[in-house]
Amino acid sequence: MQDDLIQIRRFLKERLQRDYTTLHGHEAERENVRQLLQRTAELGESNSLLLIGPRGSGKSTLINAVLSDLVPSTDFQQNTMLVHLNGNLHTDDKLALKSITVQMQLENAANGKAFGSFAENLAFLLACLKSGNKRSKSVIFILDEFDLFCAHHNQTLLYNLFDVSQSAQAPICVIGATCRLDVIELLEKRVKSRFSHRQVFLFPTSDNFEKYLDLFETLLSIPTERELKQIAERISHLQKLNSTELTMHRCHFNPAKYKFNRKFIESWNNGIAVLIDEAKSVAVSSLKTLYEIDKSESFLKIFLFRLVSQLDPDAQPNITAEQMSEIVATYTIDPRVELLCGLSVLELCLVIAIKHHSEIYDRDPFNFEIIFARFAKFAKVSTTMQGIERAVSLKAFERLRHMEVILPISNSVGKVQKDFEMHRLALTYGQLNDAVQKYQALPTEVAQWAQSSII
Amino acid sequence: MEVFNKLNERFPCRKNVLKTLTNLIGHSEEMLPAAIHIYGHTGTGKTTLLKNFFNESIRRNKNKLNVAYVNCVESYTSRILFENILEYISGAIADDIKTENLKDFVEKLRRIQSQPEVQYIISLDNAERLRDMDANVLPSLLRLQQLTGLNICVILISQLPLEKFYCKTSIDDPITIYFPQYTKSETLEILSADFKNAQKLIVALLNRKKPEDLSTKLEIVDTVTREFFNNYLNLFLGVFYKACRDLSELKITARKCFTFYMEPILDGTVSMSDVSRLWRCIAGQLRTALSQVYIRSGQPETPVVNNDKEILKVAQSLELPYYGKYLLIAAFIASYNSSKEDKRLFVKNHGKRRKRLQNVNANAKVTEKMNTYIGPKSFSVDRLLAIFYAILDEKVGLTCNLLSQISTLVNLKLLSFVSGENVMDGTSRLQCTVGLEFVICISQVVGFNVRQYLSDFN
Ligand SMILES: Nc1ncnc2c1ncn2[C@@H]1O[C@H](COP(=O)(O)OP(=O)(O)OP(=O)(O)O)[C@@H](O)[C@H]1O
Ligand SMILES: Nc1ncnc2c1ncn2[C@@H]1O[C@H](COP(=O)(O)OP(=O)(O)OP(=O)(O)O)[C@@H](O)[C@H]1O
Ligand SMILES: [Mg+2]
Ligand SMILES: [Mg+2]
Repeated sequence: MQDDLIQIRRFLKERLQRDYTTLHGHEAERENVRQLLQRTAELGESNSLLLIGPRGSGKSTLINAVLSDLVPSTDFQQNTMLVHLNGNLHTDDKLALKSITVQMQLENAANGKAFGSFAENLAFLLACLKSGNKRSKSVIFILDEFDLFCAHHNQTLLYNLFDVSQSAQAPICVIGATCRLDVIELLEKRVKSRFSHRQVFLFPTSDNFEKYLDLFETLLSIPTERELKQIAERISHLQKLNSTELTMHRCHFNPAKYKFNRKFIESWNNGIAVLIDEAKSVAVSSLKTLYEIDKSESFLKIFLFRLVSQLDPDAQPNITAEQMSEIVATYTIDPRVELLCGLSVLELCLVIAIKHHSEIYDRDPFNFEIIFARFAKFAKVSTTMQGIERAVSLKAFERLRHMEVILPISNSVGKVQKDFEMHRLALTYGQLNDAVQKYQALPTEVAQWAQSSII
Repeated sequence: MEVFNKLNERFPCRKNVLKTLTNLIGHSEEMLPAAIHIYGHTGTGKTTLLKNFFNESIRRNKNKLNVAYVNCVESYTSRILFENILEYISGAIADDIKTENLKDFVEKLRRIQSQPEVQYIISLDNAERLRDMDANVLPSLLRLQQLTGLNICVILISQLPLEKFYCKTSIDDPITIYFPQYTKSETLEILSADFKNAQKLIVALLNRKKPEDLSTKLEIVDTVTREFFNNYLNLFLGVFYKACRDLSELKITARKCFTFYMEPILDGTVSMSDVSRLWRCIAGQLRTALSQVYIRSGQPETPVVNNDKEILKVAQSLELPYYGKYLLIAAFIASYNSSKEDKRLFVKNHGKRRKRLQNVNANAKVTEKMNTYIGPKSFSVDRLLAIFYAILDEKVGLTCNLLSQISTLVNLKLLSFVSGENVMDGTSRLQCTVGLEFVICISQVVGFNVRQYLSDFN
């Protein structure tokens, strides 16, 4: 019983984190990309395609899913080569080219050769693949964070890849994944004209809440033994991918090592189903809130990870609606208000003085002198804030700056003394008002002053 | 679980965050989340708790947990950061940690041949500094799990909320954990645990000073109870809490002020039960100490000095030559008046001029727009000398000497150059760095009324 629950926790955590190849929804897009790659593998066709969608919409997952579809076929294994580049890692074309050489296992061939241009170098690499027999291997280039490659000097890499793919000098397929919807506009004209203009858009799948609930259940339920076997079977094929740059096949979630007690699983799965059975239940309304904040599966997965990690044989043997609403509540608080409530009364007073200044002067910038004068006027007539020295207030002001509640106006840095450096407020008045209301044991006079600048 | 219990005992009032941490990263052989963002005010125990948590976890789990704890203030470039992380993580197999760029770093991590159950944690303190590094560092750190295939978790520790980390390329949202600020009663509880240390401090002081009746005094210190200390802390927080909630600052100041609190008791002038007299003795001390928060004076036993008054003392004791004083005053006037008003302020006919100026400015001055609030403006040496001659009644013709006196004032950091410091001539521009109170004090010494010449006050 104890061990069973720990097994479930481990299993769910690992599946949430490392199931890189299971794609929910997007069947049409997946088919589209799969066919493209299949044609490259089987017929040696060249092509290019951009996969566009917001962060966490499943672009990488889609590519991985397609790869795992294709990898069992011997044709694919023998005829293709994978080259994986990431815009965050391969920050210039030199790094990219080096990595391409390594991934194509041509370091030895290219060693000691001097190339006049990038194009020559790439052509050499591709030519190396034509080894004796009629047809050379196809190369699949996967460019993650594609938009970042557009910032490379002259877009040389992109130009050459698209050029090869368009003129069919060698069979290559270029797939770019990006979260920038305007990515086409980033391409230079000569690059754009060589791109096939195949674009696949991915937007979060669960376009209705029903599906979202189903997904919740799917992600928390434990599969049957037979299903587990199937998954293990599918995943074992991933080993045949031999790419150093790609890591997902090496650490993919593998259910083979888990053994579950069937009775226990039944009651567990049942518990999950019951949780969201009732349309008006607390659990469903928590999920509704979550859905309204962010529909994406990646967001849901992080939420579930937090939920699952709370499982504990002694204290928390199953998932409850209270737990869920507790975690959802952490997403709805405003961290700025929370932080404001942790300031000292003095620091809060300075923020209030800043608010008054900004309201009166229509968000004019301010410096410490101006704010301190305003605060000192209040402090003089108050009972709680009397006798606060200038130096201490200056420290408080600096803390506000450190917390980035106020931001220095960049053009005033330099030789200005810190008392006079101009700042602006990085808060809304609403956030401050919320904080004044939430603040524990705030002296009444301060709360009143916050409401009205008249002392 | 043991780790949780142990730390929960050691650090009161941190049960919730400890629970969350244990859930997320406290189970060996389980998957870690890709990234965690921890934020909260200074002194809420972020650094201390995390370090203790890792130490305890590693002790129980030596081979299966690798932790890198790096402070981004020390590792101020991405290269140093990467190399420091690798040094921690790859430990003994650190054949070569030279890292050129992010690509290298990720490559080295990938090459770590690890058993699948080994966990890696990279903990980055003062993580807001990551924003100053190359744009690809932060987004990539947040998805190291995807990039390296290791069971790795990156923890960002900062005083800033996550929204301050958003940059051009959006980032993956990590799990956030908030370290709430301590309430007043929680602060009291934590400070109260410091009782033994405060007691020891007094004993140490007595042993150092060696007064005649040392033994009786030590006996008195011995009789101090926890309850008595808590009462003192209540008084102490009554004064301090509104200005400072930083625990480490409060802890140090509370210890220091406790020695003052005990003084009348050790002298035998006040009995330990006479709380109201004790309050009267300490109230003044506490107030002066309040003006000193964050501005620690080295020795605990040096009498606390009042900071604002301190400035005036400096001003009074400053042995400037007579003309030097006038030069400083002139510089102040030049800094805070616009040159347009020079003529009106310095024409011969005193009485009339002041009337007129008053009329002009009487209603127009808005407090916030006063020059003395906006800060000093720069002025040329020519203008400084002109004002100097205008406010000085006698005629002096020693420009050369005056120029060297200006240099002296610059060396004393009373003036600073804005431009032209290499060859000082009439067009070099200067700025006055002292405040109004300071100048008023200087001008009192030479019997001069500086307010009369400031357009703010006319
Ligand atoms: N349609 C989906 N089916 C299955 N999992 C999904 C889907 N969409 C998102 N996810 C999950 O969300 C997380 C992020 O997905 P993925 O890495 O594929 O996003 P991405 O589009 O590549 O994002 P980025 O632009 O940041 O690279 C993964 O954990 C993935 O499992
Ligand atoms: N719950 C607690 N119990 C006991 N001591 C605590 C507790 N919380 C904080 N402290 C003490 O407060 C001091 C400051 O803590 P620490 O340096 O960890 O804060 P921090 O959150 O890292 O601050 P910063 O953001 O400035 O780095 C330490 O001496 C620590 O021991
Ligand atoms: Mg991706
Ligand atoms: Mg810290």
